[in-house]
Amino acid sequence: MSIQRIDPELCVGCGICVDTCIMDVIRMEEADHKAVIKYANDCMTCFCCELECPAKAISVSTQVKPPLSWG
Amino acid sequence: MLAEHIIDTDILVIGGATAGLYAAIKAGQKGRRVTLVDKAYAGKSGVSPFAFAHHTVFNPKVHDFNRWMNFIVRTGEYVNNRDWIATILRDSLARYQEMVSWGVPVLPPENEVIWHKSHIPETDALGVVDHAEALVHRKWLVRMRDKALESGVKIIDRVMITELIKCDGKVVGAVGFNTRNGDFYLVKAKAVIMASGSGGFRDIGKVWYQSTADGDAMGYRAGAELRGKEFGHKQVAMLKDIPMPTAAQSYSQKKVFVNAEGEEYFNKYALGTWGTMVGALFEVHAGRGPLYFDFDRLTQEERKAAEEFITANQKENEVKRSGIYYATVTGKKEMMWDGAGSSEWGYGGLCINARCETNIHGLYAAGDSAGTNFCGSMYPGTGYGIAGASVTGNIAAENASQYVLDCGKPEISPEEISRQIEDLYTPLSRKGGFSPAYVTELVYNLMIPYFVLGIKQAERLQATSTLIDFVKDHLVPKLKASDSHDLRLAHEVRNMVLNAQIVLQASLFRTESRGTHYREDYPRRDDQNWLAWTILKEQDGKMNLRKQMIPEEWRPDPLIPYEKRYPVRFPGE
Repeated sequence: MSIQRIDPELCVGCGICVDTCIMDVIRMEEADHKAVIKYANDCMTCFCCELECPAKAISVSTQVKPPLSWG
Repeated sequence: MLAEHIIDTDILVIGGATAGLYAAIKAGQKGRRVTLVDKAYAGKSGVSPFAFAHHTVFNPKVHDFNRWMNFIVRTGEYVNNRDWIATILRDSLARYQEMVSWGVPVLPPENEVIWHKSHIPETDALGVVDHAEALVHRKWLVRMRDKALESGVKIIDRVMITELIKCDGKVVGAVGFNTRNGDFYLVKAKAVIMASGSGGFRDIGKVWYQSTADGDAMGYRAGAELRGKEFGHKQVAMLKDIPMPTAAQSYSQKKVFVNAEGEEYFNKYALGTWGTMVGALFEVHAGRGPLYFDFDRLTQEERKAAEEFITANQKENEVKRSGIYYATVTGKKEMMWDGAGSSEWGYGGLCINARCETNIHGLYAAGDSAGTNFCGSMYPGTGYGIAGASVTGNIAAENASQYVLDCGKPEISPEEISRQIEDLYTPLSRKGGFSPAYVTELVYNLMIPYFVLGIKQAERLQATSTLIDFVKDHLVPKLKASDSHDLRLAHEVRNMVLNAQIVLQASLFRTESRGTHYREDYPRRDDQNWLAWTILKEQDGKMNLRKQMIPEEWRPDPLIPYEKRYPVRFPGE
């Protein structure tokens, strides 16, 4: 659901996604200087991290589960 | 041990999107010390980055002022503030040109948007009623951040301001915390410009998910008046499982909107473009849900036109988020309608005068935080949000910059600071309580069902208000945050709960229907009693509402028959 994965093989540690994420889902792992998903539940599925990642390391799913089922 | 950051500044700008950055740039250029604080990253936060990025531009050499005014007022059903319409139209060209001079990237003129049609059939004959220039998606706002830094503005990202501080009735600053490391921030300021946008209820998939009416809540708690909170976006639906608002919201092919019986419902209610919103709710209410966007009903040509529209307006990977894309690639068609029908991206906000001053000395408001009421009960079209933000940002900066010249240094007592620190960090210091996630989902489930704010009615509004009151009095004080990220969610849900109560009370107060406020128990517009604004503020610990009639000269001609005065038909009228 929502942000799925940041591929550590592709991530270059630029930090653009860390700045871009409005909901503070992504943080920089200091040890290996790679971006990691820290608060997946707060992802608002805006796709901005995926859009802005220069290394195409991030995949966001379109699947969301709202707190109230539809219909 | 958390660090304490104490900042002395002339003007604190809360919120770093269009209005906030515009205000900060202008105040910085005037030589004031400006500090801009954003709970995310200024230039990539708020709703602005998601806009199709149009800036309405009224050009008096080319456009007809009265025609535009007429269109906006008829769309807003006469409860517009016409002084603000005039100001926004008249300033819009200068603001746009100024942004261009700052290096804000814009698209070539062939990408301009010109509206000849509105959803009110009789205004179609009015000709051009909106003209908007296109800004380069997302990049335009980032350039404004850079311009702010170049103008000497100090930008503090990832700090959520939680409370305004007053002394002798004047705003003298604010407190907040770093959402990543929890550090305390005290900003002593001679003036504050609230530019933190509007808010909803954590609507899934909406671009205002992060906007939790923080400005309205802080302003309310500081004694500011709010206006127009009963009106708000009834956002068009999105495809189920496809989270973002899509090109469907601008979609003109009405035949794709069908109910579970395969019937086209758009024109059943004579609601114009409201057919996609309120019309959807009535279909669902009648038991004809779920609803669908059925793109298979388009001809090849129509489909191609729609795809061209999307690529022209949504740029780059935006296409990936469009309804057409998903319909074609995934085959999904089912629409979301609950959140769609009653999402409350509010039109109201803090009451301001022509100088963007609120009723609290030292507190200004700009952008969606400002209750200009220029759109009345319904938004007129694309481009007005960004134009409204740049115009009010500029005015707030001009007046705040003047105001601070006569201000002494802000005085905040150590006792006040201690009290603020204790309040701010309570959710972190509690051993037990309720998680922000739990309270947020409760509020979502109370406010989002279509029969609360979509199709309003007294008993349902009151019942929801009773439960929201309980959440406010018994759950919010016991919020428990697990870390500084969670502390942001705790403060946001606190603001959301207050905003929920404000919207419910304003909706109960207005006993008529108008624009985006539909009451099935009062389905008609009541021009005798309700050509007025709802003003709301805290008084003696209670929420107080009063009515302010619009100026006599703004009332529509009563000799015009009701059906012509209001061409949009509400069910049950």
